[in-house]
Amino acid sequence: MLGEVKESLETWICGEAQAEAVAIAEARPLSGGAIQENWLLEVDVQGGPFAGRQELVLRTDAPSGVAVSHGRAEEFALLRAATAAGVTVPEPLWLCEDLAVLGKTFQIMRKVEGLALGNKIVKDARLGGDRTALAERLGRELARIHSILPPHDGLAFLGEPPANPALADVAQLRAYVDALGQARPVLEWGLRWAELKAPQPPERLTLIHGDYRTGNYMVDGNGLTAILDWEFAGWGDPARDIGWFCAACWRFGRLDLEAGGVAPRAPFYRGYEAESGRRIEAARVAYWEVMAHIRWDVIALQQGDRHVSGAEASLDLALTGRRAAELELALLRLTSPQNWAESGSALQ
Amino acid sequence: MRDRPNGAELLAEAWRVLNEDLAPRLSGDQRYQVLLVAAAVGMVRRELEAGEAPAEAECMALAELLQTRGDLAKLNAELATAIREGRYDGVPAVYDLLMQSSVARVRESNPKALDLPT
Repeated sequence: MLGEVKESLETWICGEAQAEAVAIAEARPLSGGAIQENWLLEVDVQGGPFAGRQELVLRTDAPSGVAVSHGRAEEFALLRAATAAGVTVPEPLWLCEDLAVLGKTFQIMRKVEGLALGNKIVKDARLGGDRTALAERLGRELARIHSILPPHDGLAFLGEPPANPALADVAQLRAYVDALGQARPVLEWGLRWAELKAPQPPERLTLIHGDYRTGNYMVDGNGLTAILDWEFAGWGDPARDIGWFCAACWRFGRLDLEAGGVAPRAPFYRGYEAESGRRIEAARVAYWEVMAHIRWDVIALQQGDRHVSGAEASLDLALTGRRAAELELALLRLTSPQNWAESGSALQ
Repeated sequence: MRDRPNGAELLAEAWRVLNEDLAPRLSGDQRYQVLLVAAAVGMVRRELEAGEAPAEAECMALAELLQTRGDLAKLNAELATAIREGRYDGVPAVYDLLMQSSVARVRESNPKALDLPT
């Protein structure tokens, strides 16, 4: 299936794994990642520290990018930093920036067993083990991500932390809306609200995952197996990740289960607060939940545009674009005139 | 003059075949693809049934709010700019208009989302 690149890939892996010989027994594309290509590789390694049958995942960049998605080299560095902070992630093994091998940069990590589909996890209670324990664990994992602070040697590519993360987001999202070239009055309404209600910068800025939600972690029958999808990580307000995780638009229909559609908010918060030793500010999270609807709306429009522009024909992307309407309705419900009239920022 | 069943009627039946006959017999990616096609077919049927009425109503409401004329794209662009510039902060009449046009769009794209509590 890999065709002509099979041999050069085998040679490259052989070098990285310090092996005598490497043979790719099977390679198949994995579904999932709307942004990058994922391949499952079953590799027979002779000699060296990786001797034996290895199940690996190869990730490359996809044809067209979305927003500020990191490439493979950056993702590799993020996984390294996360591993060091005790976050449960697929072990990053090797990074290849030599275009002679595959024609694009890619990284290889160890395969993790489990399933990440948000809809399935929310619907099927057999997945993820005890849901209270799962939510608590997800809170702890997030607190570990937020223990990574700037400046950080391996993460210099993330740049300087923003002076005011909320206002930086408003500016970034407005630029995305402008780039779409289509007037979106409801998004403007939400963004103006977000500008006026922007909380002061938090006490400390941390690494934020940027897409921490149900659908981006993997579970098996017992519990969590990996935190995935690091391409939107950056320095920011840690409450943004909490708001993204809890936002109604990421509960996959289980609006009653406020922690990502899998559990009530309490165990998620409990795990986070126990691990971080910090209290979660409810009003700050509420602000970021509104922002979550705005951001997801913008991303949905960008994905729809990838289809409409002809960059990548896909019914899936096309229909994601049409989710903008329901996200905008939800956004309006969160930002009624009464809400605007409440004095000061969302933190009062 | 077109014959019946008309477009919307054909799509309604196509939607039923996809959802009720095909999807239950499929699994995995094939089932997922069929459900996507069914969702698209349902959306097009609702758009056909609604016709141009929602766009016309939106255009009229915008023209009245902004006290100006123009096509839908121009009026929406004007409203978007005014909101960004802070000329309509929390204004109920603007909110009501945005709500109405959003409800009209969701009625076509995913009517189930209309009933969600907040």
